[in-house]
Amino acid sequence: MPSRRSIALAGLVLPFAGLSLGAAPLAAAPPRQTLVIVTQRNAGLSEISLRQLKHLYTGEQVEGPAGSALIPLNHAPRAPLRVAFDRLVLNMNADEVGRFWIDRKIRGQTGAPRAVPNIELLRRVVATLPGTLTYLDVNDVTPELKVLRVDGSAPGDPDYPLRVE
Amino acid sequence: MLMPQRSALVNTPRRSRLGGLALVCCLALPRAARGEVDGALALQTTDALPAPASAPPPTPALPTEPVPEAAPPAVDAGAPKTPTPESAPLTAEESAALAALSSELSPGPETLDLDEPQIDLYGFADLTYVTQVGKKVAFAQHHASFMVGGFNVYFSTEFERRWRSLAEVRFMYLPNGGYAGETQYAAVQGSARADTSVLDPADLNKPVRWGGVAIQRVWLEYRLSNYLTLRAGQWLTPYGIWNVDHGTPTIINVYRPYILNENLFPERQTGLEAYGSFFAGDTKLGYHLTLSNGRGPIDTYLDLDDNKAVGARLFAQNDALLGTLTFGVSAYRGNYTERSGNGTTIEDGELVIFDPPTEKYSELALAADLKWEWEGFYLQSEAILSELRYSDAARPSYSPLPPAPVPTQIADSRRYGAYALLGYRTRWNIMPFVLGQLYHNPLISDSRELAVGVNFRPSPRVALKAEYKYVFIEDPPGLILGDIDFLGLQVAWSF
Repeated sequence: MPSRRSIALAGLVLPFAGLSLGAAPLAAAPPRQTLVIVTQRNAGLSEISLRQLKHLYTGEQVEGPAGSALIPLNHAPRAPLRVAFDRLVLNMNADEVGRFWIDRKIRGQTGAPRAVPNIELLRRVVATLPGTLTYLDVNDVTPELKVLRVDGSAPGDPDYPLRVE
Repeated sequence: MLMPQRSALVNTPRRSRLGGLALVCCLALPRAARGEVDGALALQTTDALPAPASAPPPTPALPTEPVPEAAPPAVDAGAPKTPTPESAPLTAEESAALAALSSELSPGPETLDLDEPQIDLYGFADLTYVTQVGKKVAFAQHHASFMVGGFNVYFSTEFERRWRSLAEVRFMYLPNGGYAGETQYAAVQGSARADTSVLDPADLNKPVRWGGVAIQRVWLEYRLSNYLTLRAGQWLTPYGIWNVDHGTPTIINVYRPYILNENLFPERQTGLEAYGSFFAGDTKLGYHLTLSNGRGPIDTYLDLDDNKAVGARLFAQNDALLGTLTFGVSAYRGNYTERSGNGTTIEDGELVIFDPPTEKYSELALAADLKWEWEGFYLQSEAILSELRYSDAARPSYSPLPPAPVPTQIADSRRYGAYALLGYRTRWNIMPFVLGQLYHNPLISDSRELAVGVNFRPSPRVALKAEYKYVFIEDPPGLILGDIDFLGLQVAWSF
């Protein structure tokens, strides 16, 4: 005879088991999205680390090869690409990012990197202005931009870190 | 030329059983631990599975190295190609936006618009409701009240990306209702409540109460590099956590701990500050150095002694071991001097300096702070010690708690205390928290306090808070003060 306890446990587990091991086929996995870090095509910068990205996008100053400060540019708050980037690089969801920047400003610290909601404008700014960089979907890269390696990996490498479901 | 690997161009459906198992694991773990909000963690879990033949996603050929200006984007000829988008022509509006952005973001003074500097205007405000819960005690607010406590407005300006100015002012209903002459340790018996009512001629002489403005900070800073930024003006003293968090939307609970409320460190100072930081591996190391008028009755614009106050803060922050851990130590050394006269007198027909201090003490304050954030867990703690040593020639009187004889001369004192706040932010942005604190003040009474509460941020800009506090008060000899418990509710918002 199963005890009351085991019945109760089964009641907790079975719904999950039904979800996980049931015969119904799961839907096909959604396509992965690859984010790339881009800068001006003829910039001296060719690589950046995840740590540097995190610093850049949390208000720290990071200098490029020429010694001048890099200028990070963002997508609009809650834009899908920004949400993905914030999760991958900053380990924050949209609410956490919002709190982070509001709290920083109330402390008197600098605000968030400039957000450019228009992707075409964003690409043009990065292509035009030395020192600027941003992130794009891999399919949105234009010829005047250069894609940076991240932590030593190019976007097609298996261990490229900026890939999200 | 570095080329991305493009061997896989078709997304492969996951193995359903493994995917389902991962789902069970996710459901069995707290959200924060299973990476639901952490795409990186989810990705690592996925990548930890036996790699299917087509692990990498389709990736278009990308220029990862500099290429000649006219060259097309690099393409791996051996792999199927994903078309690279071409830049679309900009509209007139986009072109104007591009020009404005270029001007704003370009480094160098040549882009500075001297005529129209951009000002970022923002701020915060709060409304608090407070009521005693148990038996009402006499020394605390007797009546349940609503109170607009903070209404702070910030004016932030950045010039050329190296110069930055910040001014913060707090608008207050005070001095209406305040008692003139009262201090932290001395009530003025019989003093009248201030009434700022005046007749407003612009509104048919309708009575209106005017309020005041308290300048919270106003400074200009120049950033040389991450290692060094110089700041001049009035600034919040860089010590601990709370004093820098500063605003009610940012602070987790409703009430400041005693060690902050009693200003064991000066809350703000006027003078110079230098600060900077650098990374040593995964650890950020930083410092603040300060030189100021120190504490004084009018220290924001006049120092009544020649001894400048000095202060320092050192901190280390690591976010690679287990969450983000920050540890800091702070110190402050300064003199307080009050002089009542106009500083001159005539002796033998000559105008000479005559400026004896009426109150003078030297002050040393030391502090340590710890903050640990890991997933949803949050721990914040500070400990502060403050020593005041009065000059015997300028030792003021004060009013101790009855039935002690009054008045008496204030004694040198060593005050100290600590608090710890522990909370957990859930997926619904609700943070239950508990706060404990101790405070020793030989001039008043010792107290211990336990508080529990909830901080809910339904929006990043709004904080709803509820806090119940129970304060164990050590009664001074011959006087029963009684413990106190009360409830505070607060809504704080930034705008």
